[in-house]
Amino acid sequence: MTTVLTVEPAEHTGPQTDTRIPLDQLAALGAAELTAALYRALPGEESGQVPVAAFNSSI
Amino acid sequence: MLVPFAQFVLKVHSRCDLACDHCYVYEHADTSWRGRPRAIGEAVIDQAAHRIAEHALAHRLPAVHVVLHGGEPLLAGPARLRRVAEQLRARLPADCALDLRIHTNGVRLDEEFCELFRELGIKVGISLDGDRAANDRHRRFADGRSSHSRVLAAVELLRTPRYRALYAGLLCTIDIENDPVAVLDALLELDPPKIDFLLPHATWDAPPPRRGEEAPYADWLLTVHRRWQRLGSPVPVRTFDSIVRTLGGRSSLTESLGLDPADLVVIETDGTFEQADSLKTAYDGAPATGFDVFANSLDEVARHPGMMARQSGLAGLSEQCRACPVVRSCGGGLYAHRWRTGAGFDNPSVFCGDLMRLITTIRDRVAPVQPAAAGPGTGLTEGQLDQLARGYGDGATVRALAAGQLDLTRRLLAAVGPAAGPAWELLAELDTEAPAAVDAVLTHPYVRAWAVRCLGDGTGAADLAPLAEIAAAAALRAGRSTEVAVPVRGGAVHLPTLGRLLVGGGGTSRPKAGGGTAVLCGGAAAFTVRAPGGAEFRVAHDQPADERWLPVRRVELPGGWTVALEDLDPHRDSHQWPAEQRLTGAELADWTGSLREAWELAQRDLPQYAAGIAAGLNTITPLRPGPSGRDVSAAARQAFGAVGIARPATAPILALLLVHEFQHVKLGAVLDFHDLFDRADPRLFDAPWRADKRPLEGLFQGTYAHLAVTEFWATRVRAYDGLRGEAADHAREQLARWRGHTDRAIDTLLGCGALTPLGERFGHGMRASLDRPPAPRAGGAARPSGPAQPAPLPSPSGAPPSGLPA
Repeated sequence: MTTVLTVEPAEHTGPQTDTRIPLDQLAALGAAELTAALYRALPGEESGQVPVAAFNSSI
Repeated sequence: MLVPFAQFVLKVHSRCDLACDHCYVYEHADTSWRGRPRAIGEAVIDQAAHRIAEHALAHRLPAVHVVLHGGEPLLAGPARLRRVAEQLRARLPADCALDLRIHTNGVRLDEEFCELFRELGIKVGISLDGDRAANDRHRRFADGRSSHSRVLAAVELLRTPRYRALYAGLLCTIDIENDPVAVLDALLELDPPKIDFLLPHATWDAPPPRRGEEAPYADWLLTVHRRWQRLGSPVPVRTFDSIVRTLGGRSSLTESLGLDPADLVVIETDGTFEQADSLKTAYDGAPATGFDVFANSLDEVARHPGMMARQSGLAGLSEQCRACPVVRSCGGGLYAHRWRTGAGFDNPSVFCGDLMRLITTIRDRVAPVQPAAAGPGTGLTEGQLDQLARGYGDGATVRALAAGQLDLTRRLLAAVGPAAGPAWELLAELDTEAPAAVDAVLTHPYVRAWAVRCLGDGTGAADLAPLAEIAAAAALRAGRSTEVAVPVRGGAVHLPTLGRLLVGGGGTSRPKAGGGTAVLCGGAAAFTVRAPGGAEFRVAHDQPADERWLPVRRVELPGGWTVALEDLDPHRDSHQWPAEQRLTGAELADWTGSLREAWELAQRDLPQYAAGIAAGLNTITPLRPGPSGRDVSAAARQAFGAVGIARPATAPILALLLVHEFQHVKLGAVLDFHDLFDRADPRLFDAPWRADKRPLEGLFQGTYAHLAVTEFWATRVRAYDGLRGEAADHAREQLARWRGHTDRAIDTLLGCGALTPLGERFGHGMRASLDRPPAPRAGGAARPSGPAQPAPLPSPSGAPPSGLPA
């Protein structure tokens, strides 16, 4: 068992991505765009309320 | 599940002062208007208001939306319109807001009406088909005169400062003979707060004119869209905004697009309830329900099969629609446009080709492919998806899931992190200089859990202090000697993935500068922490645990699996059950022994699950024992790579809990990037292992996990082959029980009609695994490594996983 501090640069056996976009470039996309693209992964924004479709023939 | 109505179309007059030849009320299939009273009567007004108020109270609606409609609603006259508004306001519960609108052709709109609407808070929408030539193509008086100048005068009135707040927008019905640019320009000249373009009502029985072109309505709208984009999108256009929203997974703004359930009912001038107004275009009597305000409640209307059909999302669509890549945006189009005699509404929209071209072109215009900002995804191969569909996933497959999760966490961090100032700047710098060190911290499961909590905070005061802890841990891993300000919480500095240093003092969760902030500095052989009071602490690399330094403890197991027993992280309390405190030495030894034994069993008997666990499960969070000694365990959708477990009495049950919970982890990671079912489907389904009905996601998650539970018990039964006794009988009984439950649940999933093609692939994959003949047990006739005690099962009878209700 490892019960000691390990601070060496992590040997990279973990997940690898083909296109690693730097954090600052990701941040430039803005929170709204970033989270919109991750909608499947985030808890529902309507807090349990079901979104509904609005009447077509009025505005 | 009953979807309560929140939108009411109240027909206050059944005739019109124009004779537009494209009107769905008078010129299409339904002729019910002929037998209706011209104007709504007082008794109908009062009873309709009563029914709406009754419904709002019963369902605790925060708001209702009422549209005064016709025919031409201004023909009802000021007194009748006043009564409607006053009755509604008087009867609705005090905490239910009223959004009251009128939609008119504008011909009769004058100052008297505007004053009335100003007094009663009624917003006004106007129908106008564009410039004079476009408008006059259809919108004429019965004697052929143009209505254009009268409508323009009405709009000018609404644009005056006194009435501007009443101006809701312009509604334009498309005719492809009109010049799309001239139409848009004419509408924009009137400075509307909002515009929408409506496809002309049509069905497969009465298709729209096409001039021999393939998708002329898409082409017409795309010309408008291009012009609108070039002008800088000066006003919201509901159709365009709805397409962009649904492409991003959000709700549509109109019933003509998207999969959102309809919550709209029409009340005619005689008090009868009708379904969607547009159904008048399908066939005579199509919108009828047989109900009315005097005899029936709105709950009864909501249970009408026609209403339910428009609330069933993906499941209510034709097979062709369900398999379509843009179904989430088009939603099968407007319900009425799917009608075909003989096949009913089980068809795509008659505008299917137009909708496909419109949506895909807007998608490409709005979000062109930019490799530098490529969207998130798992990058799973077809073969890997097949493995996961069957309930498994080898090391490479789970590593691909983990790569997607790391990317997801990085995006979430980029969404919340910049507000953290210097800590974010340090992390961004390290991200370029020492990416492996940063990613080693960001793969910690609870980083995502914290970031999601920040996003959901909604108060603008999210706790960003943990970002400094993340940056500090990454700096240490990168070997940087930079000083980093880190928060002191509960007298400790926490370094995710590394450990916790007790520095004394209380600290706060939101340290102010110079208050609860310590300064950490890395070094070649050790790091130091200067506490707020000035005391300095030194922690050598590879320093054993002592009274101040509490390192994260990892168990190294055969076959390359190393897993942390996470009993320190403040965000580990992400599971449904309370997390255990720091394990004592004895508890740690018990955990280590149980894990070794459980892992040996999993590797030997369940290798198809063990490989994925070794690749993707990096954290076990010990939970407190369940009530009455019940086994509890949980996975959390927002914490990929972690499971929470209260250490069970036996190692085989620990193996069972591990494979069960890691199934939830894998499926959650798939669902983060893929649609397996209609997320908006509101139905609840029988889950054989529970007394209550479950939503689709819960049923899918439970089935996926119980597939592994079934295989676990199959291995136990094989181990007891030819033996009798309580443990053997228990294993046989459990196998029969879980195989039966899983089998029924797969049937329910495959028959629900709401699975996407990938979801069906998972359903059939699980079925294939369940039906697979048992494999010979590895290691020949080896017996179970310990006596399999008759133990209550975990999640099925005990803990549903946190955030993943099975």
